[in-house]
Amino acid sequence: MSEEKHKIESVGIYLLIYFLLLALLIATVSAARLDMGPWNVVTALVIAVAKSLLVILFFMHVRHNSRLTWVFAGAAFVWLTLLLGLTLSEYRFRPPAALAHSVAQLERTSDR
Amino acid sequence: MATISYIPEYAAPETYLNTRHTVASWLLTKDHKRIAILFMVSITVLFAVGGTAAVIMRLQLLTPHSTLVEAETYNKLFTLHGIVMVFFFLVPSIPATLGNFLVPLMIGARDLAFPRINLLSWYLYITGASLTITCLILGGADTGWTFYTPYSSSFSNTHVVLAITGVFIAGFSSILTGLNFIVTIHKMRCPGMTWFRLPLFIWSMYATSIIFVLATPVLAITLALVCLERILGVGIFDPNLGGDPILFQHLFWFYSHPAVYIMILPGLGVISELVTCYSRKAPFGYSFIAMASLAIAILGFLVWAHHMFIAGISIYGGIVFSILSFMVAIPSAIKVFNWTATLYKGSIQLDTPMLYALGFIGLFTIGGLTGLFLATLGIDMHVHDTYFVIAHFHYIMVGGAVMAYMGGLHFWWPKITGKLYPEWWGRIAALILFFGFNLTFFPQFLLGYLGMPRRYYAYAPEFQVYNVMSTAGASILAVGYLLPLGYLLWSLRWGRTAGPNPFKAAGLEWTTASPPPPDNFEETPVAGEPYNYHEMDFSDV
Amino acid sequence: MSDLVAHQFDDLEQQTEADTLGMWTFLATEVLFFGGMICGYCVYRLLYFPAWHEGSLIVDNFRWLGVSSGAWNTAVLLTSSLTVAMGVRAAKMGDNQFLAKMLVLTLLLGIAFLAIKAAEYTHEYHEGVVPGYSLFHPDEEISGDLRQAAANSQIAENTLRHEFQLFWVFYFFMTGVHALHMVIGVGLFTYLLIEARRGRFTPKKHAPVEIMGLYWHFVDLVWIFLLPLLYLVR
Repeated sequence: MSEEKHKIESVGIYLLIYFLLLALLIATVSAARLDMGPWNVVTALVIAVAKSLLVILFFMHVRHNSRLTWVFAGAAFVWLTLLLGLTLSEYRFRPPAALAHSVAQLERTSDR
Repeated sequence: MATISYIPEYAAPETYLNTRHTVASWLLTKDHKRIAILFMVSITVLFAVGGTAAVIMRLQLLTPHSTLVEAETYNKLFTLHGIVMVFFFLVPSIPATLGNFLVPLMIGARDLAFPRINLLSWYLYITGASLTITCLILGGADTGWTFYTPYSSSFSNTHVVLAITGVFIAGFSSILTGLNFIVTIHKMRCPGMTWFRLPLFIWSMYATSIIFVLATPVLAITLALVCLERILGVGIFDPNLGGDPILFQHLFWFYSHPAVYIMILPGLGVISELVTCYSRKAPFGYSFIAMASLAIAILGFLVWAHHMFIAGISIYGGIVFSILSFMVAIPSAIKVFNWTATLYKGSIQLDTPMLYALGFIGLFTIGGLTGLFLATLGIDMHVHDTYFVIAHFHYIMVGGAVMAYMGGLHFWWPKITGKLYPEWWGRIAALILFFGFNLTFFPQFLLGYLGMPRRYYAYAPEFQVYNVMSTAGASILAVGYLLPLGYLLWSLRWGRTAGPNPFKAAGLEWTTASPPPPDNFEETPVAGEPYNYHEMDFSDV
Repeated sequence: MSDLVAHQFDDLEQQTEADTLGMWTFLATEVLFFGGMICGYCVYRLLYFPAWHEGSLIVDNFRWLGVSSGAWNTAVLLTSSLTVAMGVRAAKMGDNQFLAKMLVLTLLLGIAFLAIKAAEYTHEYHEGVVPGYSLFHPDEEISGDLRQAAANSQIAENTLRHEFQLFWVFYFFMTGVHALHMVIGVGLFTYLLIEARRGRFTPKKHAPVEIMGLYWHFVDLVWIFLLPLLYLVR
């Protein structure tokens, strides 16, 4: 537990991670210019997850931290996945008509 | 250690109560015990506000078409009752009072990890409560405590933003409490206090804190979205402008279902302490009870859409959430079985806290079983939005949580105040409460099943008999609450002085003076096996 | 900030561990806080993809040297995470001078982020896409694009307009709450700078820098996700 407090990361590692992050930024912006259909969002999110892992593990030192920190950090994302996953799947499994602009089609002239 | 009764008056030992008397020393305290008292007084006041709303509602419902209050006023009453009772009484009740007081004591610490954040938590609670009372004075809100859209976001002409802001701020109060407890329990246990030697009350507090920390932020952001919609006039949840009201319900219930576990888990923890002390036995299946607390907290996050079965969610969603809702009953049942097994061949003492605990076990079981009725899609279709639901959750919240709070309040009263409450008054009040509660809420199961809708200011004449029974019960319930208010306050001045361990209970909090010194213990305790009742000598009782 | 250990703790190590765990717990609450907004955003993206696509194109279209403001802001924040990490490293070694330099850089980058954001918001205000019933009036070019998109996706134009406004509600809310967190971060780091200038940090007492560093990295993390979600809907 106490070694992590004395563990000092080298400047080299920080710079390496930084350039990797910039590279991933360029990758995600470039990928957005391509039309890959449903794979666009997958690519973008995969790259975002990669970037965040680099920040979490190296800049936030989770790489050297105790299992407790891993559990806390991990739990937050697991819960976020629960929220998003269960809610989105409820929408996904609605009948098709409910998914395609079945909200009120407005013919009003005023906005409210 | 020496008992207090040998020390003469003029050399009274320093306790957290007598150490300093100024107003500032209370309002700027960092002592978790004083903060617990600040919360205790505050939630009692708010309970009276919420209770008054209920009294007026029950009076209105004495006759089928009463003109005591108008329909709009009735809507405001049940809204106020829900908001105050849920957010300003039940959510903070056991955690912010008994939890704040006992968590450091039970683990052998001098205070919580972040005392100033603890005080901030109280100030946030007071701010939120003040805003809600202001909303009440200005005319209230009429959306129901559930703030369903698009009514709350587009159509209601009442003080919705004010009410929401009050709840929003109170939410941060509870997040900070949960954060404090989690860090304290992880990092400040005394020597020898391993995880599986922790009192079961601490396990419950830990599980509750997980929910505080992970669920409440979602409520905060959801309520903020409703405010945004009201203020900007955009259609986040308004179908006419592209919004989906069901989205609000998803986000709202993602918090509010785990919130009901926030409201009951601490009570379950209290009951574990009471049942063991008053059976003079270690709990049956300690680790199962501990793990069940965590299971309830985690599984409780997976069932929220059972509040939305008839709202228009997909049928597959309904099936999944129904199954999960059945599963979340299992850890609660494990607790009830284990308490029963603890009682078996125990040396039962029918003191006041035990009466509350036994009442809890029965009423919580009824409430829980009726929850299974509601989790069943076919039955829910029939009883959703009827008094069946109201009876179900009041059995858990009042028959369960409030009774647990009362039991815990009595049990730890000597520790908190140094005084003993009058035992016979305690028992009588507990029995009155039990009887009044059942007379109030059992007829509501029947009303719901027969079809009386909830949140209605009037009803069909054939429902009157049960409504009258319910109101009659409510008046008895009120007596059951007023009596303890009376004799507990009385005991502060005229009650017998309590020693460190008047009930011969196990637990580190009973090894220090009643009331405890400011730093809790003369010297840091070393923990041994918990619930060591088999080692205690009860021959002199 | 003295060298005293708070009275509820037994020693400095316990205090540091508790403070760090407290920050991680707080960050977990923040994940769910932003998560609620992201959930709403994702639901509507699923339901109203054409409107989201249009909105994202406009958000991504505020460019300097051919690169969108979102990408610039991401680069700024990633760099600031580097300077924070370097600063924490300096604090661990007791090098208050280098720490102060890194903190100044971090603050400058944070302020740069907020400045770019302010420019973006101003631009969007002039385009007429700030939501609210009196504020929302997209300019000619955007209205034309919307008409075209409505025709392409076979949606009534008025409906698409409403969905389009909803995109902007989420855009401003999510980036606004994020910017608020940045402002708080700037405040916290100004405090750290003052303390560093006074030479207050030592290898034993560097925990506040590390802990507030965690907060800053978290704000960066949120932005790492906001970029693809808001700017790169294709």
